This record gives sequence, C-alpha cells and structure tokens, in this order.
Amino acid sequence: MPGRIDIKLIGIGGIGCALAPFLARYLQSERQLTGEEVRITLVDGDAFESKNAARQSFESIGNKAKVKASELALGFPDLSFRAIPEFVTAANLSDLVKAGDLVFLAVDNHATRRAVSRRCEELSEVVLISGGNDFTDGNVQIYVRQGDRDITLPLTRFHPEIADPKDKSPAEMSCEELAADAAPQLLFTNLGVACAMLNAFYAWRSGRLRYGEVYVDIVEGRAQPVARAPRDGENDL
Amino acid sequence: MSDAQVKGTTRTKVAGQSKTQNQVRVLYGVHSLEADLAGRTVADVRQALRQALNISPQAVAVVDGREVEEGVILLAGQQLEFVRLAGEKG
Repeated sequence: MPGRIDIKLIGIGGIGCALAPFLARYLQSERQLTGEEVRITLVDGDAFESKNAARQSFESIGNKAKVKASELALGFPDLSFRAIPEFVTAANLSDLVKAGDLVFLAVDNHATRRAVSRRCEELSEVVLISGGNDFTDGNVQIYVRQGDRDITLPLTRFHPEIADPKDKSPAEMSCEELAADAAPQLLFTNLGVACAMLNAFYAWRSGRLRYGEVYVDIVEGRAQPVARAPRDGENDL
Repeated sequence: MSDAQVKGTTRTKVAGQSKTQNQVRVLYGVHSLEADLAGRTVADVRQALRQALNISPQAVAVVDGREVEEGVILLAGQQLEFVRLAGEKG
C-alpha cells in the first residue's frame, strides 16, 4: 500500500522560494511512480512585497504561504498543498510540527530555529532540515529522530548562536523592527543552500545520509559535509 | 611554541605528500587542512588559524565529534573542528 509523506516548509523567503518548486516537482514525479500521498504545508506569516523581488518569486502580492501554495497547486496537481499564514510561535508550534513530519526550515532568525529544534526533540520520529545563509556562504543542519532517539544532533548542539539566540522571531518583533532593512542577501547563496537542503533530503530518503551538517560557500566553490552523531550515552541524558 | 611556528605546520597538504605520524585534520566551515599538530592544544590551533580562517571566538571546538575545552592536547589522527556559526538569513 502506498505510503504518505507529510512535509512542512517553514519560511517562504529566498531559500524557501528556491526550494519549493523543485521539491514539488521531484515529489510529483515520485508520486506518479509509487502512488505515495504527499501533503506539503507552507508556513509563513509574512507578506510578499515588491522590495523582495530580487530574490523571491511570487505571482502576486499577499501572504507568502498562501500565494506560494496556490502557485504550487496549479503546477503540481497530484500533490496536496495547504497554507498556514502564521509565524511560528510557542502557541502554534505543537500544531505545526508533529511526529512523523519532514520539516524544511528556511527562516531568517535563530530564535525560530531554536524553537523548532526544541519541538522536534520532543517527538519520537521527525526529520528537520534547516538552512541559513549569510551573504556568500551558509549551512544546512539535518536533525533526525527515530524511535525516540537522536540519530543526528539537534540544531542547538555545538551552535550557541542558536541555543542562545540574540535575535527575535518575527512574531516577537514590532512593526518598526519588521520594517527595518535586513542584512543584504544574494540570490545565488539562497539557491546554493536550498540545493544543499534538497540534496540532504534525497540522501536521507534514499537511506544514504552520512552527515548532520553541511557548509556551503559559493565564492570558494565548496561544500563540506560534517558528521553530527550523538556520542555514547548522549541519548540517555 | 610561537604562533608563527604553529602556522608553519598548518599548510594544506599537497596531493602526493606523505603523511607524518603527527597529522591532525582541522575543519572550519568549508575549509579543511591536515597538519602536524599532534601535541598542540586546541587553543594553540585556534590562535594560529584565527586570522587566516576568520574563526569566530564563539566557534565551539569539537574533537572527533565531542565538544572539548581549549586546553585539550591533540593526538595524531584526530579531527578538530571549529564549528562555524550557522547562517542566520533565509
């Protein structure tokens, strides 16, 4: 009997916009082969504005999750899409991320990365693939839990900037903070990180994931995978 | 040992060059190198490579997958990673 895959894509900015259509195209072609039922939930409380157009592709102005879900539903009719036009908060996190989910996290702040990683630590089975970038480099972290045990490490392990973030989630920001100009980003770096996230997804799905983090630098022309496995006894802490 | 002496031992290994018995692999982001660093401390290596690789003072030191203190002495065959800070934007 064909299975079912429940995917959450949190953050539909530069990385999320680059990732979504390729993820959908791959899953639609897989569904035609396997009959696997695919549901993709897009989550973002932000609205697309014309100033984002240098890195983000939306066919209309409006909430990013709603607009992108509508676009994808037209292009990939064999898949099921749902939009949640909200930022991640403590109040909605347990409804957004559930056991068995595959979560692509493409947000622009460490506060949300910490919250989602902590939520995943509570779940028996989950795959979290999180990407972030600066101007010309970035990284992808893959946190896998199976059978109530960590297979790879949570996003906060070895990353104090995520464990103790200095930034805020968009849900905590004032209108002035949200409107302030953010650090500049480069479309090609968003693409590089999105590609690394999809590569990690494919490696996991095909049972060949051998790393828990990968670094990408588009100027150096390099990617560096690193293992992130729990040490003996770490699952029992 | 001075910083200059440590730096002198941290050149990226050239293809075909034979390994010595004191090799330690060092990672920082996309950068990696192998050098004769056995017997040096994590702090020695951080100081020697700090400017060349722009290593953040916040970067956690990890040896063979385990977080370590700066005073730990490296052994031949180990891998030392200074964990590059995660990209923030998206």
